[in-house]
Amino acid sequence: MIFSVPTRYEEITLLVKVRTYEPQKIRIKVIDAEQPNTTFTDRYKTINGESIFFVRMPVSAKEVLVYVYNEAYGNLEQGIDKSVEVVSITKEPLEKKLDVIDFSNPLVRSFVNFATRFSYNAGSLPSGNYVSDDKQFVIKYLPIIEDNGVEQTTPARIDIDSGIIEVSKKQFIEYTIPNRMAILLHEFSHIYLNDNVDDEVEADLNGLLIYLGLGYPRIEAFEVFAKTFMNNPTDENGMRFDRIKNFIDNFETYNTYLYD
Amino acid sequence: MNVRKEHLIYAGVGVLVLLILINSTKEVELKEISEDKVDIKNFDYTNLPSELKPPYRLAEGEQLPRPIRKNLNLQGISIKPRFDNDFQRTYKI
Repeated sequence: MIFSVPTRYEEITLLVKVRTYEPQKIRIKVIDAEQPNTTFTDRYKTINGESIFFVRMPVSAKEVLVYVYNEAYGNLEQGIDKSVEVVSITKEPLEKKLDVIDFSNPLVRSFVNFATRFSYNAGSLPSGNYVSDDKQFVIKYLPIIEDNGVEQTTPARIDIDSGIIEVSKKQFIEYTIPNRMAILLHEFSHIYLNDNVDDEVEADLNGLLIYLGLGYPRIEAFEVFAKTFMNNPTDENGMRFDRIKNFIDNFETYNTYLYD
Repeated sequence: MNVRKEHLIYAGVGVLVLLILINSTKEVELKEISEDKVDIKNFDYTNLPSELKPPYRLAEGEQLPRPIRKNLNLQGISIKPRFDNDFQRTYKI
């Protein structure tokens, strides 16, 4: 089933209450009603009884389409699929923690603005070189990232010499907006926030601090790291994932703000 | 009845808080649409608010700006950190 919800570009949290009568794997997708390849969330949960999906949206569209369906039967209209029912959709103000972000740093302000605009529109932007308003940041939006003619598995990378970020359009187009933000903030952190530019864990946590502070969904951050690490399952990436999970789990309690 | 100025202020603040609480949570009228009515095309960037407009795209041949570099050290030169941390196959530190 698909529901149309006017969101008027507001920062909001959508609460989608769903009911099932036995354990069912329910998928929720929230997409832009106008712009192609622009997804705000795409996730599932096994539900038995009533449950609420919280969809945090620091950016939203003029109007969004909320897809809710049982994975076992596919997307059917309400009433035809009797295994799942959408009880209500509610809009609430978005909870953010902007105090954890150093907005006094003009580079952080500029990059958050640049990354947000790029991430929101990446689904329909043509390949090319994109620059921030202050010309401090460059994203090379490439059809694929390659080295010596060989396609690379990474969705993005940053050149330490030039600060230029390369992004794979082939991969980005499939990602949700929060996924895109998490990746770009990670790359930014390498050069502009890290003490040690090569430290992946430091970049993960510095990027996540901004991501979570802006109010993006926790689950989408897990998802993008898990997806990327599955393509490159090394011991170090396993350790990174454990640190990321711990950091996100403790974010609400203000226990792990700083990289140690 | 003797209504004092402070009472009016308290009443005003109370009404304001109540209005904020009522307006902060809005149940959306469920409006289901069928799959064949979904038509995502002809998107127009010009209607977007300024904070969501696409960033500037350089024209063909337009020179890349030289971004500032921070935290640059000798160790980092010629490294391109990748999101998937896969240095070994392509980059040597």
